[in-house]
Amino acid sequence: MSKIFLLFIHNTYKVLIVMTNKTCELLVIHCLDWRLQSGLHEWLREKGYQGKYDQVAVAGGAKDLVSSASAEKKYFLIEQIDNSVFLHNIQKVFLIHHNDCGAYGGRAAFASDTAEKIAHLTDMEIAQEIIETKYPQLTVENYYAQLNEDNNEWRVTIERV
Amino acid sequence: MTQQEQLLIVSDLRQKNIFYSLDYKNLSRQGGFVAIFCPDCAVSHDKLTHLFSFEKRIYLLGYHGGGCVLGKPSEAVTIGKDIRLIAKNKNLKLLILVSHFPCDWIGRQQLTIFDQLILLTQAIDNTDFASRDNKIISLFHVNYGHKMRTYGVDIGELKKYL
Repeated sequence: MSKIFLLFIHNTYKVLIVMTNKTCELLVIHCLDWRLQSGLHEWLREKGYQGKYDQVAVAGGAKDLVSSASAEKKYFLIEQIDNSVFLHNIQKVFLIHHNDCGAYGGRAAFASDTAEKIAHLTDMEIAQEIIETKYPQLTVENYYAQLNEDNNEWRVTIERV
Repeated sequence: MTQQEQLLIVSDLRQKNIFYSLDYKNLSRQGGFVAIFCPDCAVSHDKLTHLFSFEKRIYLLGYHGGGCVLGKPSEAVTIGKDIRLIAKNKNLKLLILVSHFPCDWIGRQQLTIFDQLILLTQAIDNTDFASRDNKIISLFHVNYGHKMRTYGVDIGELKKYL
């Protein structure tokens, strides 16, 4: 795909063609937590997306899109999606949240695992609505990752929610 | 400026050792770090393979433009706060700014590799992270077409070059 810009420089019009040959179908928005990374990328590889996805990583994943975040943070995350839409013509967005997320106060902030999962699901659904309203051409899928420590290794189990 | 002309600048920076070969083993002794990278699908796999080969405890921040985005003052304020908070809460002393060429985010703004490198130098100043205890390292990932390479960037020498 290429984008064509008409520029007015030194009293003359110049045509600038920016070649953006790349397209990638998928944008993944996830948390920056180190425990998630290897498992997440292995999961994406197994799904056939290796080297074929943009990945935006911020504290709490899509949390910044929901109401408690500051306007700057919301705008900034929308801008990231906008860049992937414009530059790589993405068609699909995966929102991936995980348990024991520091941006949500960790596991200790919730009365139970169920309450924690519901809080994440609610935020992801709101974020999904915001994205789909702004970009109707995009399909948004929500995923919840369970992190479990096993012999000093972090196991990641990801389910669609 | 064509892509080939911009790659000649990369070659020049290599010859002057401003883009230097990385010693990944040194990075692995830091006990984890915050890394800012570009979400671009073209480099995600290569970048992750490199980073995770020497350190598991990486807090990844992915923004279009990677480390260069911090060269813009308004973004530096928003992201800078996050970086300092994460570093403090997780006791991380190292910040790695990863940029890459060709970067579509840079292209979208009709900037050249020169502008990109200026942003990278400004990013170091804007971040307000470096101190006696805290270090910043800049990495520059180059896709030559037939191969990809990641270099360390000597920011002091780069400022003189620019």
